This record gives sequence, structure tokens and C-alpha cells, in this order.
Amino acid sequence: MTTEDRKARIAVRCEGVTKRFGGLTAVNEVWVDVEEGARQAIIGPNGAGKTSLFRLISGEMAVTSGKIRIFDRDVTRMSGHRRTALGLGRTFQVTNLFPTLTVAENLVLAIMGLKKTKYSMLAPLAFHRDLYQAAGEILEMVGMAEKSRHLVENLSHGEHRQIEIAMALALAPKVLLLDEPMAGLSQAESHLMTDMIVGLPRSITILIIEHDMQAAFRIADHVCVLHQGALFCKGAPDEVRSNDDVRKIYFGEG
Amino acid sequence: MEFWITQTFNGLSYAALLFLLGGGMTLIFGIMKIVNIAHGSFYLVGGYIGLTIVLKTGNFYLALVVAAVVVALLGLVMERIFLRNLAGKDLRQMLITTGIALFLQDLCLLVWGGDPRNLSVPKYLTGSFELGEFYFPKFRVFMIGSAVVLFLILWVFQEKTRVGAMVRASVDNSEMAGGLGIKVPLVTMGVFSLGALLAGFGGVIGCAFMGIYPGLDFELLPFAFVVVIVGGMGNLTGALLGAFIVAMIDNFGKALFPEVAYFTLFAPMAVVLAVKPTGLMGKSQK
Amino acid sequence: MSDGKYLWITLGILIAAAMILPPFLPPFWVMLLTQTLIYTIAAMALDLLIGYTDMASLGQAGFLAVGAYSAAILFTRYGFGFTGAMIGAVLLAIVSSAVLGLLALRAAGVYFLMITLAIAMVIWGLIYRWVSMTGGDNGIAGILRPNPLGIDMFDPIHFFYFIFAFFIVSLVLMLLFIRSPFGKTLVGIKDSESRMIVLGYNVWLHKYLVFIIAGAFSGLAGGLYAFYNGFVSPSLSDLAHCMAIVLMVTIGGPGTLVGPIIGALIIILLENIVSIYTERWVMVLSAVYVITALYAPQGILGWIGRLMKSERAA
Repeated sequence: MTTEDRKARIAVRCEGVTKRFGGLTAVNEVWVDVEEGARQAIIGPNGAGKTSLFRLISGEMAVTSGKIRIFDRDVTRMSGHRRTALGLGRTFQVTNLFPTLTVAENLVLAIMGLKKTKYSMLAPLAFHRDLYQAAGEILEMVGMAEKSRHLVENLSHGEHRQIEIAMALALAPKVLLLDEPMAGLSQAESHLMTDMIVGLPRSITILIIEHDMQAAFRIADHVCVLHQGALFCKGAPDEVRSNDDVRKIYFGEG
Repeated sequence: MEFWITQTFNGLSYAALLFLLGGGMTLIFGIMKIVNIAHGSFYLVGGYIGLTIVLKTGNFYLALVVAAVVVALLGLVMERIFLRNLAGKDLRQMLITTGIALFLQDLCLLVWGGDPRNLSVPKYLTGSFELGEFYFPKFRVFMIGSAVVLFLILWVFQEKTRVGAMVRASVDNSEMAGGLGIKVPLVTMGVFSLGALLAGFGGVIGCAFMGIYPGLDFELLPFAFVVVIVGGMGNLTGALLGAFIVAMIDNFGKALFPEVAYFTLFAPMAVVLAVKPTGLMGKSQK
Repeated sequence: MSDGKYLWITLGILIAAAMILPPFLPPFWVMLLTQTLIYTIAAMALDLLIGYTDMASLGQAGFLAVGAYSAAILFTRYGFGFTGAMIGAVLLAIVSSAVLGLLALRAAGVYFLMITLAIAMVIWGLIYRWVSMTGGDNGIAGILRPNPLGIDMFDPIHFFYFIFAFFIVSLVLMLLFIRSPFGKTLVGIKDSESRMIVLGYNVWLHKYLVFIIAGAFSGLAGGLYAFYNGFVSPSLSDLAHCMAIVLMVTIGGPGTLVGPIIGALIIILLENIVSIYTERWVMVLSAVYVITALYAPQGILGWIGRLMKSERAA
């Protein structure tokens, strides 16, 4: 069986997802399929409904109509909590780490959250090699392994953003929602962050919202453009990039 | 029957005192979100000053006024110099107010000595009203009366005046109040002094009622705490309600089960904490 | 973690001094140091709450008093020996902190401060008024020191090393505790409680458990105090006492476990030595409170830590 023959699973499917707030339609009949292992960028001018769509997928907000499926399972009525248990992870725009602990300890706390080990009161945490091992692997993935013994409060904003992604990865998500990971980063930092995201294993499906076009096009296999809540167009990065209408909604009519 | 009426009346007069003490503390808490450990000291200083004024001039009302004013000024100075820059830093505020409380306590010890003192009640307030078989000491009636009057004045001030509205706005949302042009630091200073004033006033009355001695400041604080916790922190009506409940339970408790009376005081606090942690009339913490 | 090195050095110096000095000091000083060790146990316990979990529980003196009175009553009234009385002290402190913790943890922030203080006050009042059991204002006297292995504990130096053993055991247990997985979760809660909740931690339970553990150590300190002093009184749970332990943690340096040792030393020396020179030693103490709160809320060790950080940056 060749790779083309094997039918890829659909990790995230939005079926006519709509969100209305009173008279305002934030998300309008969006139909999107994200294949397992794909990197899907969601772009669009401000107010296009990108973050709203994310919040509908993650469960932070409830849909007005339509369905959301994660690995074929209808999660439309499921709370965010339970979607996390199904393997959905997300990062936040505002970093929320443990500043007085080391990077490794931050990760270990994330990994330990659902384990019984957290109640152990006498043996030092450092003895739990397996936790540190797992933390190390994740830090490798995000390129922060050398800084594992540094205190988080001593690191830069860009490094915080990387650790933030590591924390999301610590919960072993199958689908990762990245909400503007480049926000507040310098050119150089963005470059590093993009490299890191590109290097993440294909076992994880990634949806990413980004305003940084360069980064978004580098990372993505597929791009969706949202405009005024509706799906304007979708396709491969090159197609979208060269699409005149897309340019127009950004710079022209809007 | 006589027992219950007398005890209820006694409880009411005790409640009046607790309202003066707890009301001041709850006002201060409401506006500044700080627990003022020196609040008992305001009571103590007020009581001692009242004592001195009465000894020197024999005029009880003068004593009330002077003590209240002096303590209010004391509160003003304290807020301005020590507490102004520590908004939101709870532990540090409590440490500072503790330091000030200890200082004031020692100062009173230095000036007035360690023996318990008593303020003699003015002639026209001694004796009792007779109502059938019951005797209601005039001074206790005075206590209840002044507490009620003060409560009404404060309530009207808080609810019906412009300045009161400014206070309420500052308590609810000081940032927005500032944005609306309300001089929040001034309001804070004013409320703090007001809280101190109430305690000082209570100190004079309490001194006439049950005497005064060093250490009383710290002994009364737990009662003030329980009034504030039960009534709801920052709520004036809650303080009245809390004072009533605490005074009644303590009074009946002392009369019926003297040994565990303090413990029966604990009961309303425990119940309130278990059921509605922000107090009977407190806002929800979210 | 080279930031932490100065803490270990400080601790080493303190322990070495405690082990070597006593035979060379006059009995008065040995007794003060003994008292310091006892209070250090309570102060370190409070540091677990204030410094590591960011729970400013002001009523720990209440659990110290529970421990002290339990030991006193078990010894003088029910004929328990030292061991039995101490076990009783710790157990009763655990029970009371477990019950009262349920109430205290209904509140957060400044409400929590107030309620924990109120709890200590209520314990004070209970001790004060339950005269038949506690002797009320008169306290309980006649708590005699034990005689382990025939060694006379009334000799201040013998008793010092006896208490020192308890101190070392407590110190080791607490050091292990803060380095354990559970201990780290407490720091996580201090740094970002919201994140800990999202990660799946039962934050309430963690806070409840550390509250009880702190109560247990405070009870231990209280029991030891009863045997040290031979006499217990309600003032053990009064407001001044509660705040004194808080000051010990603050002035030494919260969150370091070593800070409380220094803090206890400072406060006890202040109370006992300054009072020799002036009757107004309370005013000196009040100045210490105000200055610490205004200028050194992270205490002496916090100040040293900041100095070292800026040196490294420069």
C-alpha cells in the first residue's frame, strides 16, 4: 500500500460551523477538513473570525449551529475540559508560566498534573527521572533543551512563547491549536519559532492562526482565508499567496 | 421571662458597642481591603483620652467629641504616612498595623499606667428607667441610642448623599471612580478616619461601660473580626446585623454556658464561613 | 541553582554555631537559643505556607497553643509521660488544623488572612474561658522535663541538644518536603494557581494538606515549648504572639526555610535582650514591624538574594 492509497484520517472537521452574537455573525457557515498530521493555517484580516473559530473548536465557546468533529467524534456539545482529554491542546496569547521555577520544572509540573506522583511528599522530585526524561524530550522538540536549568523569569519573551508551546505539548495532544505564536516576537525570534513549529512531529495535527504571513506560509500545508466570518478561500500556500482576491481583502475593500 | 428580657437588653447594649467597633473596621476594610490590626488601638486611645477629659473637666460629651476627633486625626495620619503606598499588599499592611498597634498600646501603658481604669458616667445617665418590673439602666439605653443614631447618620450619608455615592463608587471600582474624577485617595483617607472615629467614640462609651486597661485593644479585636466576618466585609448594615448576632450569642452564651461561651461565639462565624464565606450581607467573592 | 548556594552556606553556619557554641555560653543564652530552636520549628512551618504556597495563615500560633496545652494537660492531668504528651500534642494539632482548615480555606486573599487570625483568637478565647480544663488565665504549671536515658534535662545544655535533635529532624523533613513533587506543586500554586488548575491539579486539596502539615509542626513546637517553659498560658495564642511568628518569617526571608531560623533568632533576642535595657522594648519591636513591612518585606535573606542577583547581572 502506498502512502497515497492509505486514506488519511480527518483530525478536525467543521461542518457549517456558525456563531452568532445577537445581531453579529462572528463565524459564518465554515466548512473545513483538517487531515491528521496536516499543518493548517487560518489567516484573514482583523475581525475575520479566526480566534472565534479557534474558540469554537477548543470548546471555549459553544456553536450557534453546525458541528465540530475531532477524529470523527462529534464534540459539538462537549466541554473544553473533555476535549482536552480527547487530545486537543492549545496555547494562549498571554503566557502563563511558573516564573520562579526552572524550565524543566515547569514542564515536569505540566506532565505531573494528572499523575499520582504529585502527592509524593518525601522523595525529591529530582529522583523521578522518568518525568525529567519526558520533559527533556519535549524541550528538545521546541529547541529549549539547553535552557532546561534556567529559571523561567530569567528568559526572554520569545523563549517564554516557546516554553508555552512545550507546556501544551506536555499533555500529549493529538491536535494542537496555536493562537498567534509569533505575537510579540522579533524577526529573529519568529524565525526560530517557525523553524521549531515546522520541526514538530507529524503525529500532531496543527492548526495555527497567524498574522505573520511569512511564518504562516512557511509552516502551512494548507491555508484557509477567513473574511467577515466566512470561508473566503482555501488551498495550498502558493495558490492563496498569488490569489488577487485575497490581496484585495487585505489591502482593498476589507 | 425576666431573664430573657434582661439578657436581651444587655445583649443589645453590648451589640451597640460591637457595632461601633466592628462598623469602623468594616468600613475601613470595604474601602481599603485591609485588616486594621490597630483598630483596637483606636478604641483604646479613644477610651483613655475620654477618661482624661472627664477627669479634667467632668464633661462627658466633651470627652466623646475630643476623643473621636483625636482618634480620627490619628487614623488620618496613619493612613497617609504608613498605608498609602501599600495597596493590595495584605501581609505587609497587617505587619505595619500590628507595629502601630503595639506602639500605641505601649504608649498608653506609659501615659496611663497598667491599672484598670474606669470612667464615671455623668449623673444624668446613672440610674435606670423603670418599666413595670424591669429596670433598664439609663447608660445602656444611651449606648443603644447612640449606636442607632450613628448607624442612621452613616446610612443616610452612604446611600443618599453625593459624597456617600463617591465612597460607594470608590469601594466598588476605584479605578473607574478615579477615571470619573473622584479623588479616590481623599475618599480613602476620609473613610479611614471615619472608621477610626467610630472606634474612638466606642472607646469612650466602652470605658464608661466596662472600664479600660492595657491589652483590651487586642482582646476586643476578635469580636470585631467576627462581626465583620459574619456581617460581610465592607457592609455597614451587615456590621449592625453581625454585631447584633455576635452580642446576643455571646451574652446568652456567657449566661447559660459560661465555660464554652467563647466557643459559642465561634459558631456563627463557622456557620457563615461554611455557607456564605463573604458574610451575610457580603458580595460574592467572584 | 547557584542562587541557592548562599542559603546552604548560611544554614551550615547556623547549624555549626548551634552545635559548637552552647557549652561556652552562660545558661541564660543557652536557654534563649533553646527557645529559638523551638520557635524556628513553628516559623519554618509557617514559611511552608507563606513563602512556598503564598497562603498567609496568620493563626499558626493557635496550633502552637493547641500543641502546648495538649501536652500540658496530658502530662499534668492524665499522667502521660513526655512521649505520650508529645504525640498527643501533634495529633491534636493535626485534628484542629484539619477541622479549622476546612473553614479557613473557604476564603482567599485578605479574607483568608483575617479568618486565620480570627481562628487563633477563638482558640485563645477557648483556652481563656474553659477554666476547668485549661486553668484559664492562670495557665497550667508543673510540666516537668523528661529524663531520657537518665540524663538530667534540667541542665540547660543537655536540654538544648535534646531540642536540637527535634529541630534537625523537623528541618530535614521540611527540606525533603519542599523538594518533593508535592512541594514543587506548592510553588506552582504560588506562581500561577490558574495554570495549575488547568493542568489538572486539585489546588484546594494541596492547600489543605500543607495547612495541616504546618499545623502539625506548629503543634510539635507547642508541645516542646510546654516542656521547655514548664508553664503554659493563653497568651500563646494571642494576637501579638501570632504576629510575632509572622514577623519571624518575614524578617528572616520568606520562601527560604533558612530565613525563619534567622528571624526567630532576631525576634527572641530582641524580646529578651532589649527588655533588659529599656522598659519600652515593645516600641522597639513595633519599629521593627514597621520598618520590615515598609523596606524589607522579603527579609534579610531576600535582601542578600537581591544583592547577589544584581552583582551577577553587573
